[in-house]
Amino acid sequence: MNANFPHDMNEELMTRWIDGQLSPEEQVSVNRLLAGQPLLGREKQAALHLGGLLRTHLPSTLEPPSPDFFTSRIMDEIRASSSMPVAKNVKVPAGTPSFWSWLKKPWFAPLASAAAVAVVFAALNGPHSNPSPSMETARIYAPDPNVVAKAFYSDSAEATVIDLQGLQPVPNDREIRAFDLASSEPAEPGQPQVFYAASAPDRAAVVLTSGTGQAPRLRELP
Amino acid sequence: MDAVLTSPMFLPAAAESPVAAAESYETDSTGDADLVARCQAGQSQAFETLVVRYRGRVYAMIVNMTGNDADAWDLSQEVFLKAWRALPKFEARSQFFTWLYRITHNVTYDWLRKRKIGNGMEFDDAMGQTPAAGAVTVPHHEPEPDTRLRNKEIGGRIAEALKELSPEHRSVMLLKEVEGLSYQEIAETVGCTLGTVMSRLFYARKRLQTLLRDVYESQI
Repeated sequence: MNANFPHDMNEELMTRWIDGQLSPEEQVSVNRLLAGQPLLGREKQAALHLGGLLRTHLPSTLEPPSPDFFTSRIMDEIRASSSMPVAKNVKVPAGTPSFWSWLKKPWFAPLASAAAVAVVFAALNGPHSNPSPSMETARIYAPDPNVVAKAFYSDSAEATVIDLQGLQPVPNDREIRAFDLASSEPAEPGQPQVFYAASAPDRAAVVLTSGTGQAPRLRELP
Repeated sequence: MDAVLTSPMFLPAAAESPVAAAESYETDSTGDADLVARCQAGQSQAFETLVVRYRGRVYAMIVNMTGNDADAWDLSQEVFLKAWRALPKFEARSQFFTWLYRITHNVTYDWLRKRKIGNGMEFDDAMGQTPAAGAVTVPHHEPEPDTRLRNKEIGGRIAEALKELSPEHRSVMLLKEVEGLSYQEIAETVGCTLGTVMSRLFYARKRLQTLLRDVYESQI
């Protein structure tokens, strides 16, 4: 406070006086000390007003951006490390880029968009193989807890695979757009949908399946 | 990535997942102590409920402390991961949120110390900016444009003034005035005595009153 307080009042006492935390006995004593000093009363009011100003302009609750992703990322870290809280190896990898650094990358926006709309893609790397754990490159946020989303790079297909499991087949009237994708074949019920890279139109970039729960199989590419 | 797909919305499968079924018995009204006990028994779903319950308060506290929305997101993640790892040692002698605030304080304090911005030793452009896109204040309301502008100015002034405080004084001030914690809860959170809490409050108020006198006097 900018006014001069009586020497008998220390910082603790003054703080509790401002906050209304004095005992009845202390209050009587302080009232006696402050008698005839209206400036101190105004200082107390100013301190209380300052508190109100902070409460008005600073949030006590503020949902983080992408709150569902915020939670799922934590839970992914926990579940990927251990199901028990005693696990000591649950930590953010040192090399993991931050959420905000992702936002600066050109591929993040469409990736986030794809995840946000909870699209299920099962893209395939060959006619007979499922992705091995070593091929998995990232877990992708899906707002629906029934959807499991993963991404990995397939050397054999020379394509990034976005594997989203748990959704119903994609309706035919939906438009699929993406970076570097030039064309696609019409989706047929129960059949995967192939997307071709704009930069390499002779090869499949991504294959979309209906998420039937069966192991995805890539049909013969042209 | 060779290709990343964007698309309109598609429909989720109707089948209920095991995770969803397991979570069904945890509601918003489930007490913290019960959820903590379940976490300590290895039920990570219970921790997810705690994350959802407290992420807004933790994130807000870090934003207020750092004035940096981008780093606040990552720091909040770190808080909850540290909390999960430390849960086996949590003995419920204090409330869960007080314990979580202590972790929040420690994580934020370490970050501020590393950045050396606590005492204004280094200017950070991100300080005092409005919340990041996607961050929503709760409760949310839309004031008139001129009021919004005035509030933005005041918010900026407050953020700048808070930057002038040491992290120790800043955290005590925020915990008292914004979070509404008691002296005892603040002492537990920041790990100091009650006397130190009150002393820090006194000097933090004094400093902020000097820095913001024109702001609050214009509103009296």
